[in-house]
Amino acid sequence: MAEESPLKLSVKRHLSSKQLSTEQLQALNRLQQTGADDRPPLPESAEPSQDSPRRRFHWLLAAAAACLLLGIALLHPLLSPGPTKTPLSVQIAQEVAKNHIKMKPLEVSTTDLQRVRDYFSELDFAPISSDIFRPKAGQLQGARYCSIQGVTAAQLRYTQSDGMLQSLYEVGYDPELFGEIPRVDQGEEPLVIYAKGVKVSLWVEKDLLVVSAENSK
Amino acid sequence: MFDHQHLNQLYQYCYSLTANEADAYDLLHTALEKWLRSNHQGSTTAIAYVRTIIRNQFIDQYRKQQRFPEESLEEQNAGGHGGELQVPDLSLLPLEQTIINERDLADLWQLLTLKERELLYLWAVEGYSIDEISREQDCPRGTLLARIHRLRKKIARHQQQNLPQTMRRQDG
Repeated sequence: MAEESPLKLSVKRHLSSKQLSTEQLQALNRLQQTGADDRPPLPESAEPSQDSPRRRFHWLLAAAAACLLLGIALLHPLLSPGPTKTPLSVQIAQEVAKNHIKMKPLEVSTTDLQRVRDYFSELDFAPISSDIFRPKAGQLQGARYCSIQGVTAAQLRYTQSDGMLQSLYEVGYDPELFGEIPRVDQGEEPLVIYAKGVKVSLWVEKDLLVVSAENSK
Repeated sequence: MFDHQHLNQLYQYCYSLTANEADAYDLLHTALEKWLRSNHQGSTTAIAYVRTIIRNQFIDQYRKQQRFPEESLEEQNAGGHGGELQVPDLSLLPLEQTIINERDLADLWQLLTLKERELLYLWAVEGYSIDEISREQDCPRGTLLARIHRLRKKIARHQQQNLPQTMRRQDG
């Protein structure tokens, strides 16, 4: 079989890094199954004018939702029982879950961990191949820079055999910034938190805070 | 019904047209809605049919609003008003021989014209020949050849401009 040209390979890899998020896939599946359009309406200029009754309904719905949100925003200070401090581990889990759901485009697409390490030249730590994560890791797809609690971190993305995506985040561990997280080097078990429907596991390994995220099954 | 792989394939085609992920999703969603309303759902060439809907939808919605600039007159006339450019065959060879790494291509992607991006998609992802692309885009072969020629020059120019930066990265 003839070898593919470098340009063709680059185009394929660049485009294959553009993947629909889990939410988008679910929305499109729902659309195909039921024909239900749960997408927010397009701006006035983006649709032809013959659908106007349906669009008017969408706009009314959007206006009602906006009023509701405004009302909640105004009433929130009155209804809220006062500031509560969310544990740092939960804050991290929520941040990571949000980031995992977004599935932002990869900055480097590769199955080679060494290439990922070479790419992260701006980090002040060396990304590791986690002993905890490796056994359940799927195929490495690539990586991108991200941040956890404002600290620059590495995000690696894997695909499991069933097509589900996993994200692995690594950042230099600072207990003051991230709180006390289980240290697997000392025999502790990773902390598992569910946030936004995502299973998030946190642990400290080789002096790095490592966080994995995958959709709950 | 399209599975995830096909949906992503169509999404990547949308992205090759829009060069914007949010616009690509909107385009795909609208095209699927149209396809579901059509009588072609059982078609064995559903992917190709939806791709045509996507292309027409993109042209209707986006280019008429001039959110994306029209291609230059030079691009339109490059093939000589539908006339064939006198160039030898093996027309995709210049692309086959072009060397560019993934990171440079990602940088360059936003600088490519809509037609260049679509050409690359059809060639690299769908594996189309020059004649198939010509039929798909309803574009004279000569125009495509001129486009390939300019695309190759653009890639070379981009790489030349980025050479010092790449060398600095390697030094660092």
